[in-house]
Amino acid sequence: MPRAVRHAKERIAKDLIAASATPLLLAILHKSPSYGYAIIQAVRDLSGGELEWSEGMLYPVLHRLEEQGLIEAYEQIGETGRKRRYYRLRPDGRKALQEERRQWDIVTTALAKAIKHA
Amino acid sequence: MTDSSDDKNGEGDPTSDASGEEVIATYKRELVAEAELARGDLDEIEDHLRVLASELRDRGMPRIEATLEACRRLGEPRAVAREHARVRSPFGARLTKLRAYSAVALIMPILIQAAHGVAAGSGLLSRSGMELALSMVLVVALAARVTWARPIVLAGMICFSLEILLGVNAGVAHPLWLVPYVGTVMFVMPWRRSELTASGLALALQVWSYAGASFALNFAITTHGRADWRPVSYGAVVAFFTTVIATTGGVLRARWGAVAGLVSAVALVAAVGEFAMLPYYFPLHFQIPAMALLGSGALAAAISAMLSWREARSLFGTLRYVLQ
Repeated sequence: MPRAVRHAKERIAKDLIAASATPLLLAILHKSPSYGYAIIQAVRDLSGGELEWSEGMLYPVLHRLEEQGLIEAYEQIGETGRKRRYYRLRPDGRKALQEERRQWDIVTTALAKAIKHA
Repeated sequence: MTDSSDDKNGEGDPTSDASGEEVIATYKRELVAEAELARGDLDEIEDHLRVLASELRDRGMPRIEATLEACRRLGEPRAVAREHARVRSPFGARLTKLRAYSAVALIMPILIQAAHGVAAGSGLLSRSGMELALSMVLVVALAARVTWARPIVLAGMICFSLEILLGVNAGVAHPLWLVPYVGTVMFVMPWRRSELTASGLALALQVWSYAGASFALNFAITTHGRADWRPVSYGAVVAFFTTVIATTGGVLRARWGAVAGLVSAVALVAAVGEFAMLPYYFPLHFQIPAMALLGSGALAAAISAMLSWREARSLFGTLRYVLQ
């Protein structure tokens, strides 16, 4: 089996992970406010362990969404007794999630049709 | 995932506790060595490390190995810090205190000289007055270590160094005048990759065009001995003011800043044309660098306008980046 194909079977492509990061984060935070580590766990659970995010890179993505006004951060005391930064969706984030959903629906529908006729 | 798990796999072993803490402290030190992270961001990363290490210990991993594995999963600290800096510092990585204050110390004599020029009679409504005002803003911004000050100071100092070199070449400036300018460049230079973001680069290029406009204006004034704005007139005057407006718009990440940048590019092209049509004779060793400064200023303004448009947050921009 060619190396590239073998590699593709083993892991989800980086580009795909990057493209799906924003809608996934928005969708997770739409359910309830959460914090970094719990978000990583949620992504792992939702994907059955197939989506492995680089944990350190999660925070810059969250901060970028915060800069864009899609989510907001607040602090709360966690179960360890330490202060912990939580994130929640803002109204603009809800709108962005709807738009992401619409776009991903188009992509997945087109992809499903294309693969069906392949 | 709770603190009770701290008692397992290394429980009661003060050496193991200390080593785990030392691993976390080292990871944080490496983060800060690459880019200055906000306290809250550092705490967030530390919290992640502790929760992950605690979970790994719950699965039976010894404390020290769990902490090392947590650090490994979080990622290479320098790469993580660079990503943080890219998001948190809209114009580029924040300068360390030592570098920022050293640059301020070197700029102070330039500022004092400009103040002396104003006091000597040129007044506040003059080129010296404007330079004094701008350098005061920059000194305060640099001392406060806001991220937009760095690209502005960087490009400004490089341009004025070149202008002094031109003066040295023409025999009207002393090479020692270069010391504070070149020294400041050394302190604010982005030595590492990605220390300057696209918005920071746009600001730096806008200041490059400001230097071109400032040179043209200065030339017009000194040629005539008074500010009648001829013959390198309209282009220079328009470019001088629009570059200042464009730079302000760049800091606010406003689309109007990009429009002003485009106007300054056109005005500088006009200044190049006006300069080329001067009826006087200038030696080539002066004419060629002068034309290069004006021409590159026009090009810099055009590229900066494109970058500013792409990086703009909205038509009117936002004040949130002014203090970042």
